Amino acid sequence: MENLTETTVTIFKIKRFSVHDGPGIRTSIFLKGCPLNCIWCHSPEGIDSDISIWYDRSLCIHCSECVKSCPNNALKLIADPDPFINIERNQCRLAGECVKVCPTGAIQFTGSKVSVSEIMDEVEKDILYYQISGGGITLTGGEPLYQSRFSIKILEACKNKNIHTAIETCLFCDSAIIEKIIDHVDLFIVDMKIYDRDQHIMYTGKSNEIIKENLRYIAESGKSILVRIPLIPNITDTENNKNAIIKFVDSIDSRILIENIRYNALAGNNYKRLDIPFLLTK
Amino acid sequence: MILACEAVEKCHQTHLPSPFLSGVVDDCITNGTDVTAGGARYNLSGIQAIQVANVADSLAVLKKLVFEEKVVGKHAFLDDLRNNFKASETLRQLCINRVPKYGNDIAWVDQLGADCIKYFADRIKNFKNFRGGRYHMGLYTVSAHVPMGQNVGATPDGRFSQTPLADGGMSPMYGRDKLGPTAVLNSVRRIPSHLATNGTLLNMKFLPSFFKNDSDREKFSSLLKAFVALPINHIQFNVVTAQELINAKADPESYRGLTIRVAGYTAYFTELAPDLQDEIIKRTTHGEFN
Repeated sequence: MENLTETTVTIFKIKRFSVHDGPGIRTSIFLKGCPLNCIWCHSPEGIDSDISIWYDRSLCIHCSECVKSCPNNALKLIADPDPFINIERNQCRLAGECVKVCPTGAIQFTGSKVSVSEIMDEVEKDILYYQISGGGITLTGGEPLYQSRFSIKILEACKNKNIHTAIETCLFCDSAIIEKIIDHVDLFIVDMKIYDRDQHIMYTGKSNEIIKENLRYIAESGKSILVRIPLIPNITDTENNKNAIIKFVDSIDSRILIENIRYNALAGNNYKRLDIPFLLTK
Repeated sequence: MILACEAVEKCHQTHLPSPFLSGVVDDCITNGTDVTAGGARYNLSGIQAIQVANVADSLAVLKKLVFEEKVVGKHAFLDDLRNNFKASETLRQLCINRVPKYGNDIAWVDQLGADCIKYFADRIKNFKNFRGGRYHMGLYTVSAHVPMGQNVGATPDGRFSQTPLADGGMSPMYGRDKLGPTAVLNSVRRIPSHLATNGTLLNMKFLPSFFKNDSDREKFSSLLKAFVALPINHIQFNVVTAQELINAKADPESYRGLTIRVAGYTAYFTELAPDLQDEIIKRTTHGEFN
């Protein structure tokens, strides 16, 4: 068996007392990397599987420690009119000196590589609360099946400890991955964004055929599924789209629950921290 | 401190005997002795330790930044504290952000607080109160963390001079607990509550939106059941938004009915001192995290 202290996975957050991603009190683990590129993505730091740097202007006290520390001269304090640190991303080699010296956490890596056993140490801290509330863990992201080899290890480790497992996924992956993972998952929370294939390609960058196939496969296996529709104004929240998704899911299995998810209006802030454009505003 | 307690108890004995109270406290009547003169069977005096969080956080900062990483020298740091971090905001931010804090389920930090509390409880065992009885420890502030804070200079945890100490007695320093209520409970459970026979107090603040549907209310009830299973004696909750409190402070006339748990008692928010109001507004709010 692979050593769990050596298997590392790239995550961008572990959220304890997670109460809206499955039953009970849960710990959500946010894995980096996603095959889709939804223009409304509310955690853009989760899309790229590689770690980069982000800058939160609201936390910065303009001490310039980062500017002095950078071996590649990628940082500059722009003084006027409202001071901020400019990151020349082409020059950045991710040396991480700025992250080390930043006193406020304004400059941070967008994620970290952690071992499966480190994740389990965090997960196990709240076992009492899972047991009392009927909770457990939720793998989310990014797309947790993007680093599926590691996701399976986490899920296996949880099942060995009798911890309920949920996975929040877009299901855009090879069906072989679903086959491998399915026995370790108690609940699939599936994001269904757009029913129409061409629209799906336009807004997420990928076709949704494989997503539909995977949903059908999981439903046939009898696993619990919750379908979530993120309500993006004028894109996914149209009556046409919602009805098409509901009809499709019903045709697979009418017992599958469908839930609407309100859109997080603050999503744009994370794009600013990463210096990447937020296409939804255009 | 013992001398001050003795002076207070002597005053009570001389100027404020309590015959009515003595009538309902065991053994005072039988002994023919007032409760303030030592007539009670349990002839105890309570002394409260009120800043577990500030002590644990400050010791953690000294351990990390001064002794281990040597980011700042001992004497330089002492000067910065005496100067209330005036020319050292960068250092103060390091103190706040680069060292783990009590309330985040970090065993070694919590243990620093637990060790100090145990030391305090052990030390007061060596003294007898003015009536010849024992002292015992409480871990609650009522609202003393605000006036007491005015007597305490800048602390290594990044707290400015004369600002409030952590509220409650068991609570983390406001704004420093970042991992939600389960992490808070896991930290608090490491403080030896069983030594605090004079009572303990933990404040928690939740957003009203956390209670909007059955599923969320059920999750809150699970949190309460978990608390009962843990070696923690007491929690009290406020369910209110920071904005509501800010509005109430600005416009007291419209919020006369707004009651709030302060620390061991419920009060009308608008009747509290402004600095205590500010401290309550700053307390960490649980319920919706990103």
